[in-house]
Amino acid sequence: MKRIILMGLVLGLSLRFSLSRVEAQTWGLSLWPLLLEVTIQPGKSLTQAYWLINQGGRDLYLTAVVVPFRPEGDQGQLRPLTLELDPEVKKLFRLTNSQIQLGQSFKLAANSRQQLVLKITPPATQPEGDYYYLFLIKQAEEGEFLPASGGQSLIQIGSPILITVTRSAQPLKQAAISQFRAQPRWAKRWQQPIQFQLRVKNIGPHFFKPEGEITILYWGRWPKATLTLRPDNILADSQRLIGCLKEDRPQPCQFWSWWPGYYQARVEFRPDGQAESLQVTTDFFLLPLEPFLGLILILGLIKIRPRPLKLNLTKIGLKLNNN
Amino acid sequence: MKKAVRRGAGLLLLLILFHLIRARDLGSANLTSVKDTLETSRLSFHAANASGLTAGSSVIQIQTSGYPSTSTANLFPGDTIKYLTSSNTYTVDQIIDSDEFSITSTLASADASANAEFVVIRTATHTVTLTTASAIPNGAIRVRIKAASTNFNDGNPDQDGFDFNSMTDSDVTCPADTTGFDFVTGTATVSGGTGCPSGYHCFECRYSGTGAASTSLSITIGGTNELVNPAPASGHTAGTADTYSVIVENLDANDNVVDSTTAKVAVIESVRVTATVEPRIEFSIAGVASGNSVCGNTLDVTTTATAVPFGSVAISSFTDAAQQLTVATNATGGYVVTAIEDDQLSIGGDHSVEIPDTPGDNSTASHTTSDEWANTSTKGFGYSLQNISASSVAFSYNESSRTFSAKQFADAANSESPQTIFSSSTVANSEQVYVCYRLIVSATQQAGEYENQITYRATATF
Repeated sequence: MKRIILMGLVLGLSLRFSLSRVEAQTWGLSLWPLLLEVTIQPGKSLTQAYWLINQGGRDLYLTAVVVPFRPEGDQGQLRPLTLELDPEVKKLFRLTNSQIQLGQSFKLAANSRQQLVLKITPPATQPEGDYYYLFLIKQAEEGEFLPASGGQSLIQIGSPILITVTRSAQPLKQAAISQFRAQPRWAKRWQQPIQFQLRVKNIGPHFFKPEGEITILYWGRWPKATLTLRPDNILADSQRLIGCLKEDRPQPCQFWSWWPGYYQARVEFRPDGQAESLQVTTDFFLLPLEPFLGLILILGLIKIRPRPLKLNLTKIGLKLNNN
Repeated sequence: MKKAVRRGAGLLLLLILFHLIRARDLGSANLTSVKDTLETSRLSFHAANASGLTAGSSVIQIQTSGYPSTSTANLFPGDTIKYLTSSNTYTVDQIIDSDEFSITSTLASADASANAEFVVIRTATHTVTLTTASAIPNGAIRVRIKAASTNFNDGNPDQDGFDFNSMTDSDVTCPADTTGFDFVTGTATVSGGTGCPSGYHCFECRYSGTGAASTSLSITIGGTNELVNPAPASGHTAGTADTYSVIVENLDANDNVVDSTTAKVAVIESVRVTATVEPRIEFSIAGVASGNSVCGNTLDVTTTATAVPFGSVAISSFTDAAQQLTVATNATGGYVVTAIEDDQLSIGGDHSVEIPDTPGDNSTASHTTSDEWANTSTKGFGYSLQNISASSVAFSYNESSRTFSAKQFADAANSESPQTIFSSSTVANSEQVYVCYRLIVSATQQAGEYENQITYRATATF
């Protein structure tokens, strides 16, 4: 009897725990490549194959569209200008798949993949300039009715396409440094890193990547460190906060040293490594207070320590002789 | 008489045989432990343009026959190619396939013609070690390395030997002095030069002293200048080494070879290891079961990946639900996830009778501004976020010491823009966020089933 009660208790507990862990089915999409950069002459064509993967356990109805976007913020974010396929966009883009067309929904079975072959053909009359688009995969509405009040979740996944239409082999790239500063300018705390904020503005007609570095000079003369700039895209008429790279891994642009004193940071880069280089310098101080306070404390302790009593026997002896 | 002749001939034969045997005894011995170690055993590269290349192109296609290198198998990103006619150089960017590669710049018109030959020069220091066989006084150690029959000192790779590459005496490092050997500065002599028979380049270290047997010595050939490794030999099979002779000799005071050994040195293509990591973005949604504690609340509703079914909603208490959003990308630029609703919750989703989005307890909540929402007298629909592992979330349910900091979803019907809910500006390894939905209605809310659509969009940043 005891054994039956014990088994029932164990079964009940296990059921309780397993119930609390239950989560509903996961579904999702995967898309690659996730960024396409194209420099193309008007009238020429380029083909790019995208892979779309349905990672979930149910079939999805999807629609592929290409929509224009504009850059937003200063960290590579974007805002689609519309979510519908524009007739003008159809002149530039088409899918060469036999069964799937841009703007038409298609079924992607659970746990399967689909290649979408996008052909980009700027007409011969296309004006030179940059054109920014988002290759967007939208989940189509399926007319699913909820059994009660609530919300339906739809997902979309997108990959930016940056196109420079030009007849020149080396389109014009123009940059300006809108901000370069060290923060804080005076590092008062021990091991407080100096963060560099570099904002680069694109004042030309074509997107580019800054290629260069920040050099840290001790007392304005001796190089102490070099930070490689992360070559992020800066689109026309926008600016971007530039990070750094260390061994090809993204990292904040920051610096710290054991050596207190005055430093200069000089940023120098070229748009796409081709045009004229831009250079700006800022300065900062590494003067942590803790070591100085510690030094003052130690010196203070030495100063107030009671001196040992010394008898000047020579002087006493002299006095005795005088008497 | 005939017998005497026969005896004489036999005697002569014996004498010849005896002489031959003695001569063998007097010949040179083999040096032992002879070895030539190359700094790199990679073959040089020597190919030619295929037809159809144009000036300004950054892609080069090579001839697949008729030249020493007939595939890109021994070409690597970062290699410097040099055109033999123009001496122009380019840096290899990527290997496209077996007969095409790209360069980091563009091809000059002088280098775009068909059959224009180019090379990748691979030089190597040779470290030759040996053990002497006998004591030879005031002699020399000489190393002879296989040279081509023509163009063997132009600095470009040859097909049947090592190119001398204008080496000088200072490029030879002789062994350190040891018992019986007092070495002087070494010499480097091109094939066919003074005292160096054609077919081999000569490197010599002369010494004074008695010499000694069984002494280990090492000579380094290559300093400022180094020998150029050969290009693939004619009939070369990729992956099979081409071998060349290296002769190591111990000379006497009159430059006669006393002891000698021939070693072989092998050069072969390097193996290019390639792996492609596809840049991709993955975005998924998962339901969360009721009873879980998320955003500081015990959830009342079990959601699925596609739906948040609030069911029958209470009037006097909040109904809470949640979904889990996950993004992973190997893009260095990161990602952004935005959210937007098609409209406020409405009966049948027809946008006529609606449950308004929450104004928040202080009537400051909007799609861009959050507000505390803990008072059940504040009616409506809104959401909050709980960060699980994302780099950056727009706001959090417990920010500013709030119990449930809430926002309205951006409303597409009201021309509001999608709002970023979480993001990363770098590589993201499965970053997760809970989206927490909250709903409470007033007693006067018209009965019915209210619906809307919420669209989550994940985009890679540019």
